[in-house]
Amino acid sequence: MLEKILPDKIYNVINNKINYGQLNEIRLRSNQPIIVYLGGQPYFLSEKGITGNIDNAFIATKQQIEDIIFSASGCSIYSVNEQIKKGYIMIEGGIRIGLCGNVIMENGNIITQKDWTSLNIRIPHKIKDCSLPIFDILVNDNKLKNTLIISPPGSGKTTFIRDFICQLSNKNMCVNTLVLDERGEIFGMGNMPLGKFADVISFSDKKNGFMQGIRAMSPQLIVTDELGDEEDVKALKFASNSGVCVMATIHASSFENLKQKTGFDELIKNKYFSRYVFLSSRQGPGTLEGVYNENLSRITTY
Amino acid sequence: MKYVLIVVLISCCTYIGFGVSRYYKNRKDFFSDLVMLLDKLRLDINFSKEKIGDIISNFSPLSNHFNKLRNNFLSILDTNKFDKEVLIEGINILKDDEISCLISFFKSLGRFDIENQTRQIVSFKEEFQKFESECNQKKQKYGSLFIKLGFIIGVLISLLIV
Repeated sequence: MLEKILPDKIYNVINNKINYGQLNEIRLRSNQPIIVYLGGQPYFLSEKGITGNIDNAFIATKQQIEDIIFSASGCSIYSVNEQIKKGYIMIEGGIRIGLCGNVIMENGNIITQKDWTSLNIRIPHKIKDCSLPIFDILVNDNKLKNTLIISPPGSGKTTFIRDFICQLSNKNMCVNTLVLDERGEIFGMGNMPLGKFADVISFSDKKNGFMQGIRAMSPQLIVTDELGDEEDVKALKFASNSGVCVMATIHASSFENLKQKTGFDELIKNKYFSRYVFLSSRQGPGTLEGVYNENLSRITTY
Repeated sequence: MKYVLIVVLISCCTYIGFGVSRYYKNRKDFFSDLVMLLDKLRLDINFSKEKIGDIISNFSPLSNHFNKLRNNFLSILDTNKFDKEVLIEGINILKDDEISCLISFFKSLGRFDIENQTRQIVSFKEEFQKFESECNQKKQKYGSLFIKLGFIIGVLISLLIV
């Protein structure tokens, strides 16, 4: 898919001189050197591949950024405007393009973004069996536990939950799993298989997705990405009241950090989640840092 | 032999007249197709937010010239490189102002949110409708005239020669 959106010059280097399996991100900023993240480490991109020398680096232009976004939209900006309002575009293969530019507002609502100056192309990867070491901690005697996956951005949360869903399928645990893929990253618009027992709702917000999904599919487990605001907390409570287990992810680096987020202090006090999994990119994205129980006691260390 | 020559002469002149009248018909058909495509774009974009490439590839034009334009634009979408020469390649029935209007339209297509995309389509539709009605008038005025003229000239030449 990258060949359809990147300028030939950049794509040829990425395709021929970089280990694609290690590539996490490509960052373009207007009139600044292009940076790629390989195995979580940043490098400049040059004609010869990656380099530490800024003088040899490709410089991104505003036109290139605009062209990439236009191509990523399938030459139809209006068709992805809802995503643009939220600051990203999803393309085939679960590749997410984060956008930065001028936000256009009307009556307090974002109506679109334009004059883009930066973008961040995030490449998803499968890390096979990355959830396996703690699978038995999250699923006890075939019983699922409400689980929150916690890490800073880019540390493999989505990869972890995707692998967890596949593990359920691999182990033939017939758990009806509803994947609420708000940004299209988990399912990768159909390019990331999720096994035999997963039903996917894509591009819906959590409030509507939880309601619609629970009513329509009667799931035993809901898996969703990137909890954020109070509405998401309400959606979690709705799932809990409906007797559905939840596995979700959130951006945070510690419990202190997590408690500061609206509604989460209460969720922690009420022991909504039975398991907290901390990830980092210390040894590459998906590094397990620890698993905690509902009392915030460490169960296991890595 | 004499009669054969008369028939050939009249046929040739009528055919030339037919060719000229066809030019007006082709232009009219071209703009009719274009206006129809704009209607389809407006509806499909508003209703299903389908992508430009999908909408255009599902459109079946009546005019061969418009079909060329459609294929040219689809190939531009494939390569993601807008080239006005490629867009109008093989289309020789348009005037300069029509070409520049066409290029402006296709160059900006797909670059807006729904509301503004719709406005853009509506405003270009008005322009193209003017071209269409102008072509229609000319087709009615000159269309059959050139066939008749060709026939008459053929008859006159035949009389002079024979």
